[in-house]
Amino acid sequence: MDATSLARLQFAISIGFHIIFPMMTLGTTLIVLVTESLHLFKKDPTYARITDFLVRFLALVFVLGAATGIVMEFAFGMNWSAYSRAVGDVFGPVLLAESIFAFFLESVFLGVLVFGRKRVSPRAYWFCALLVFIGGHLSAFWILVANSWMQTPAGFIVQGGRFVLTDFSAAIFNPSTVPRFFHTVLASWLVSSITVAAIAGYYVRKGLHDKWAGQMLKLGILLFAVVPCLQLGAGHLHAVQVIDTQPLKAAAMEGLFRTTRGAPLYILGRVNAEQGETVGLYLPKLFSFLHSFDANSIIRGLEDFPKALWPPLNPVFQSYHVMVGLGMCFIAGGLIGLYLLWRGRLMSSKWFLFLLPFFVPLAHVAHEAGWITAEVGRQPWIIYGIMKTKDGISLVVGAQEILFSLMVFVILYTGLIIFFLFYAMRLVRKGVP
Amino acid sequence: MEDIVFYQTMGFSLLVFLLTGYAILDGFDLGVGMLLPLLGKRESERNELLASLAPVWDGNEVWLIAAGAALFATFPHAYATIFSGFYLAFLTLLAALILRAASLEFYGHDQARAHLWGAVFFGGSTAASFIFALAVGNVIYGVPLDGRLEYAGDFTTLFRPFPLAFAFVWMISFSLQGMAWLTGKTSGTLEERVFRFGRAILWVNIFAAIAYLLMLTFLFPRVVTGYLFYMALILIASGLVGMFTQLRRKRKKGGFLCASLFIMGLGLSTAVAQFPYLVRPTGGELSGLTIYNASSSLGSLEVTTALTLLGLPIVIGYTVYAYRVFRGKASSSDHY
Repeated sequence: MDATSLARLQFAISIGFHIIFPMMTLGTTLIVLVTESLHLFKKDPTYARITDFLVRFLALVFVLGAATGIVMEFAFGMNWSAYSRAVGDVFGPVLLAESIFAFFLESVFLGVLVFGRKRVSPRAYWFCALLVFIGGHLSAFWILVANSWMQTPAGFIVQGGRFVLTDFSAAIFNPSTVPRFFHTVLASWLVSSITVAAIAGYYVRKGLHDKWAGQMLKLGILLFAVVPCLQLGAGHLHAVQVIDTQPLKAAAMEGLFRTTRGAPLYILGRVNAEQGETVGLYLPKLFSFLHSFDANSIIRGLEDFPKALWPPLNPVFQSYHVMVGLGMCFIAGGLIGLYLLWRGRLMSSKWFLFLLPFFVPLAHVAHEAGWITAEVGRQPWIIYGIMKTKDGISLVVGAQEILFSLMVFVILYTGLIIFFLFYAMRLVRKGVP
Repeated sequence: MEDIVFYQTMGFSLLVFLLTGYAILDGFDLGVGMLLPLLGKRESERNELLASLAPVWDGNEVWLIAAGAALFATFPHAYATIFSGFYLAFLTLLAALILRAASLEFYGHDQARAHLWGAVFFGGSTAASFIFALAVGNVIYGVPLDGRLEYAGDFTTLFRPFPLAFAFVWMISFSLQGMAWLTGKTSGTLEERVFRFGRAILWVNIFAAIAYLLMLTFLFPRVVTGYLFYMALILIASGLVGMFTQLRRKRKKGGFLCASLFIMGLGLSTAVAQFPYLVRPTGGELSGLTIYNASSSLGSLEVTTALTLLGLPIVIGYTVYAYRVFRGKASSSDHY
């Protein structure tokens, strides 16, 4: 493999691994905020026990997220220094804003949240939970600004190969920032609500920690029912934005070769790049309908663009369909849970509680698949339509060095995930003493 | 043009501020990590030492992340040259930072493997301090650059006498900072050991600081012409004298402040020697990377300055709050 492919593979592995942890963090800060609010206003210690349990889990997840997150900041300079040199003017201030306005807030108050229950007043403790929630979400916002700017760049001019910032707020609120933010945050809430429901379901099924486990299960199921439905809307808005601002990526996502009036939506399928056709199970005209609620609207196809600029078609198509398909499963699962809760049968439906843990890895598969769609779908660009990925790599780092660092990361991350799962399981088994 | 020079100088000051903040705050938890085998003879002692770090170290490390982002934002050329040039060194730094973060967290989850995670935390802290200081030492002493201002040395270039000496000075100052932190956080035999080793480490620091300042004036004679260098000397001297009396009288309070003054002085003297360079070239014919040729545009620097002036005072405010929450001895209930 050449240096560009190795650098891409290393970035893909390190960010694909990193994202697992923030995905668990954000939603958990939401649930902790809810349980602490209930604790404060209802004066019910049951909720405090749920907080205490979740905060330990949060600490473990957050540390791994922070540790693997530093790799990302370093990666721009280490592996993508030509890119960094060109875009520092616009991209750097966004990363700095993330540190100063978000990551400090989240890290400092997480320390108080995890270790300070007995050292601060209940109101101050609640306020810490709020600040960790805000800090975490702001952090996601700024990082997604950085990513969105690479997808739909705005607020700059190019002078002699360098990007010069002209309008910071246009760079921040570039066309894909807001849809991407809502879509990603809801994905995280989904991961956490499923995880919390699965853990609580396990306790209820085994008859452990009955009171607070029951409350935690209710809370998890309520979120599990609501969040996937919200995600349907957010995902829709994001898809419409991609069709409008990155039409080539959208065409790859649906395997649409020719510009079509009334384009179909595939449920399952396979893209054949040589023959220029997609075969599979589809619903006629639905793609067009979902874009503008007009079944006969025109969607641009791959053949409108030079073949050299096409992303790898099948990976984009398949990962996108895996994500959407799993999203539908989550909607069904959440609504079944809500129905059981409404009928008062949730606690006794052991089959459902048994199935819940299987949704947890699926939720991670779904967000990874979504990221693969977004990132593979924008190839061959590192800055969409302006700078090619291969032009962004470091000039002084050779393929052998990257291969070595790639091996180091693979070994390190394999060890980390094994111990993480081991200690996470141990936390679950322990509950709150 | 006058305008942009002001903002370029602000950018340099911001870097100095963030890196000094990192050395002061993460400095003590790196220091405690390096001293772990020396101070923590028994498991209960190691628990006590690490429990004092658990609530605060996360926030400390953000100073490094902020410094990295600030370098990216203000001087992207320097960020690109350093990070790609020091590739293997920074890979080691990342591995060390990841391992020390994970090991500190895992330590609290696993009594059976406490020894393993303690050892990993020691190794990670030592390696991270060493590489971080070695990298800074190299850009100050100078590295080979090519015509495009890309790094032209290799991994072994980093291990020259001055950068190694620089790394030693900073590692030993982190140890002092760690000691100063522990004077208010420990009790019993552990506390006695802290004071006993503290005095030894202080003496090493006194000699190291003198040698370091002589080295700076010898290598960069220009430093003695500015008043900031003398301010740095005052900070260093008052910090060391303060630490000396504090350790002698076995006072629990004030040590951390004195050690912080000392680190500030070291940081300021280094900054004075380095200005206006970001990466000094070893060959005389090249300009190197300076704040003038490596910076972002005026508009971008203005945004960065505004973000920082708005955000950093708030950060400092709530950081002080969090440290006040955890003031005094670490109790065993703080650790789970």
